[in-house]
Amino acid sequence: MYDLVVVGAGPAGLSAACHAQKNGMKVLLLEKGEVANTIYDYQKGKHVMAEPTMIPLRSDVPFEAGTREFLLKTWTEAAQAAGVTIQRPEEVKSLAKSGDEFAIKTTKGEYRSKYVILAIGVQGNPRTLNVPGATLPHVSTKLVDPSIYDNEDILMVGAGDAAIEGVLALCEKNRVGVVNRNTEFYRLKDALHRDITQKVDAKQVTAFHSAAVERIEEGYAHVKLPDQTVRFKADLVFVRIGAEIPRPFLEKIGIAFASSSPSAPPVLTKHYETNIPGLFMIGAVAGYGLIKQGMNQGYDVVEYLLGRPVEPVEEPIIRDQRLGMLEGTTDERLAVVRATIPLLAGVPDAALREMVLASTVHRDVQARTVVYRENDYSDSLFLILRGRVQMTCSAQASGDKPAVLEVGDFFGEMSLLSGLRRSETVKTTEPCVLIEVPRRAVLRLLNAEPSVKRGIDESFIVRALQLYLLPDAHRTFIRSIASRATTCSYKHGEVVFKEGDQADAFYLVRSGSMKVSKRSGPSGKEVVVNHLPVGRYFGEIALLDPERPTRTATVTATKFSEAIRIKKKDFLTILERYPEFDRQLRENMQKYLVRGLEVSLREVGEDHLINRLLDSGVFEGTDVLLIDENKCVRCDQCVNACANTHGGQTRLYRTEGIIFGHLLVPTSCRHCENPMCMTDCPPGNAIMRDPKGEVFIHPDRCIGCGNCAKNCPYGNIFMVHESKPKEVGPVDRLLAMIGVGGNESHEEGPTKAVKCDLCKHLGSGPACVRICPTGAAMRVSPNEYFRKVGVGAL
Amino acid sequence: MGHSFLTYRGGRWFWICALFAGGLTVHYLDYRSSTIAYGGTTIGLLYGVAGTLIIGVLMYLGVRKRSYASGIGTLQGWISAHVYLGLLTLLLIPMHAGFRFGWDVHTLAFVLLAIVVLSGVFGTVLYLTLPARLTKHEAGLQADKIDKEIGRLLADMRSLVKDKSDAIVRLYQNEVAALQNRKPSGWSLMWRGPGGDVIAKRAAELAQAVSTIPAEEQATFRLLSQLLLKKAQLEVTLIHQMRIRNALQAWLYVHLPVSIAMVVTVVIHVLVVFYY
Repeated sequence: MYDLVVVGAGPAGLSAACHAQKNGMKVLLLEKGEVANTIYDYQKGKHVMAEPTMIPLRSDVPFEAGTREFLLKTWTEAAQAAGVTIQRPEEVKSLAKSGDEFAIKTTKGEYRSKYVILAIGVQGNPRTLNVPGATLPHVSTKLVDPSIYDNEDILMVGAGDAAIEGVLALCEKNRVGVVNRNTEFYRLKDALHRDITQKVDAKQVTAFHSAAVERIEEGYAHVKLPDQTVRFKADLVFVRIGAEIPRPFLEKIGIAFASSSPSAPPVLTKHYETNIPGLFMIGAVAGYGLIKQGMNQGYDVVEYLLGRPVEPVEEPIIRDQRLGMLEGTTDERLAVVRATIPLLAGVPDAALREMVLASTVHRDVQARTVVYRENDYSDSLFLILRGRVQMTCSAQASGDKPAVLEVGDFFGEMSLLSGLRRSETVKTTEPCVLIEVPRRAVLRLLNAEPSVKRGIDESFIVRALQLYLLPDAHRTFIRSIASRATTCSYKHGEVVFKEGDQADAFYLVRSGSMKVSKRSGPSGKEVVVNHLPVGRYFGEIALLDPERPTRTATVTATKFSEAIRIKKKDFLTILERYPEFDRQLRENMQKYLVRGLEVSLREVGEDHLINRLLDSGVFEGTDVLLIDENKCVRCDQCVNACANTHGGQTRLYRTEGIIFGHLLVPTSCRHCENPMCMTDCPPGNAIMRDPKGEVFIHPDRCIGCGNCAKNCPYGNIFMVHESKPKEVGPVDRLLAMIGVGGNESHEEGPTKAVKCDLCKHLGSGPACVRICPTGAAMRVSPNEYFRKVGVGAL
Repeated sequence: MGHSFLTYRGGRWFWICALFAGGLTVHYLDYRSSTIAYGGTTIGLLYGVAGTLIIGVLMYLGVRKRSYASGIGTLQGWISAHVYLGLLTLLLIPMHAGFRFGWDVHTLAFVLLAIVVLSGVFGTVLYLTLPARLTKHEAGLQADKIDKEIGRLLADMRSLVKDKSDAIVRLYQNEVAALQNRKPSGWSLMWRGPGGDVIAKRAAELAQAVSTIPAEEQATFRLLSQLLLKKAQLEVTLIHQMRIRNALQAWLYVHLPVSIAMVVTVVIHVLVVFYY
């Protein structure tokens, strides 16, 4: 008779078992596979994050971010140290409660226990194929070490992150095919998407889209495509199509679930007790995907069983730290937040807790404090819990009354969504309580909660119209326009409208950027005539001129972009109401049409500077290093200076760049407006931008995953070994010349990402520019610079 | 040309040095009218000290150039000052000597100084004019990419002449041999240059070779000729680039060693004056 049987020796189960053992309970830990099976099945060397960082770990088992191997070792040692015996492999076959105790039948025996904790995770239950041959020995759901396969024909079934990671690792040495249920790779991390697309284009990987495996036989798999079935050579088949809660097993036990949906979590009390008293569920199987959550839950359940008062580890943080200015229990305080801020009205409890945890609550902001300034590069969202703020921007006429936001309003979504700097200055007018939600937390919320997305989208349209088009318009009028406007998104290269199309709408760029092109000259070659960054409008010409109801140019998205679309009718209403806006638009249109004439006259055999600049993404930058080749004496002092001030590793390659006329854009970070490198940083805060706009890498936080380097479209981030090569002085060089010394191989540490940091540590500006003897090297804001020198001016 | 290191910060150093030179001239004329001007007078010594200090600043450029992390001015500012201060010494030092020259170590120091300054002036002219010309030549391809491109052309030729007659294969082999026998011509390029219209010459050679090629391989020969001419063209571009690159550095081979010799003679000059 045991006090406690824990099923599943993952982090959650280990944490529970170790804590119970330490507190004198008689514990049995059952595991059907390996210790921490999910982690065990990860690819070798994979880095595991310890998220969320703001929640402390409450467990006798240690857990820090690290590699797969490191974690497995730590946990096995912790179990040994606590004296917990793990019985494995032993699978639970049935579990029933009679009276006050549970009877557990396994593959090896029968046990009785007062309490049971199910911590079985979901990976123990991978989805498998239900086709003939799916159980053959060469079909597997696990891929631990891709490096052991060489020169094999392999088929990967599944196109999620885990599957594609596997494909990418396998395709270097093997012939790999991948079966994707969908029409294209989607919902992949950006870096993975780019890599796999590249491999497929290079024919290193065969991709089957809209495909399904029909049958597997020795050496071959039959893949069903929409129009045919292909017999694909496959010595090995890996199936990585996710995992699911083993619901039939759990339902047989009698556990109740929230709904019939396959992803619905079980119904649990706040102490993780199921509807069967004495039976607890924790970790992934209970719907908590994070390792740390599971471990804390294991600890908490045991505390509860020991009769000690427990509250979830984040409870005091939310109650006393984040929401310390409110009163009542945590739930009451959260209810106040929800009631005060309409945007959060529909957010479920768990998501709200997570958001508050991730946020910073500015409890007593004095009156007349500046929250952020126009042109700052911050991108968090602010919620007003108490007080009032006012928003001003330099585009406003001086006599205008600043917009006032009150309790329950939010601000900051413009920068958050567009990735641009702040377009307004926000200042408190009375003492305030503000909740600052970081970008990542908002994005998570936007993905999970449609109501929040709708709220933010609507407000964004209103503010964008106010800011970019109609600063003087009445708010209710703008609201009514906004309620009828839609947000359209465009993929890279997608056409918004074509020259000659019928015009039915007016657009405002919301995120990304667009290019305007025309066919011109006898050759009919397409010429880019303009570049539209966030905040610029287009599509007005054909609407303004009844004589010319078709589009005069083609507009194409230059990357993933969004535009606010206002219907023709609404646009005309705006013009009617605001003649000043009408006049201004017409004036701009005349200029534009004159410019268009020029373009169509010119024979454009030569390649267009603006087009090439656009294609190479120079306009994306905020701070671009340019070298005037007509002044550059090719001394490479800039490169030497970069290497010298960064531990011998240059982040600037002068000759690798692209040349536009006599301007060279060398390989060096451009500190983009909307940095792609920041999109997929696992620690989330290793690559960041400071309020001035500089994108920098925090060396201590970087885990060396290489995502930012892969995501940088311009190849300006480098992965280098951390250990600094010894500085080579003149004496060393002399010694090396006569063959003494030198040659010492230094231990190579792990690689980390490095990039231009604008020589922040020097405090006197970038060394490359300061060391240029002839003033050829300069750092400029491309939009301003090229406008000044007359490129892309319109 | 526009803005350059000569006009750094609105020609700040030009004006400083011009004012200094003007003041100096007035002062010198006044001083000469009252006494016999030579290095040993108080004023003469003062000029000498000022000259030495300026030479110190000029020589310090070599150190500043390598102080990559230095926050003391930008290198462009330093170069700007270097040019004008250098020119200033050509006025200051003769005034220090009261324009008395002879066949001794003292005058030698000045002659060396003059060589250094004049080579510097020459270098300045090169710095201002050559980069734009180099940019034009690089518009085709930059040096490091030309090397790769030539390698690619050779590989193309090789696959083209495979299994062909000896006459064609020999053309390819000659090309490879020429590449292998190429002497490290570096500096001599500066004076020689590519020598006439290399491409026309090469085309004429190829035209002569037509008769030696069997009829069924004429098409291959035309393709090969195209590649050969392309290679020749790249080589000419490369030579042009190398010449300009070399020129950008060549003047320093006078400027720097002579400046060190000059400093040594200045030290001797000072020792001789004070100890003997």
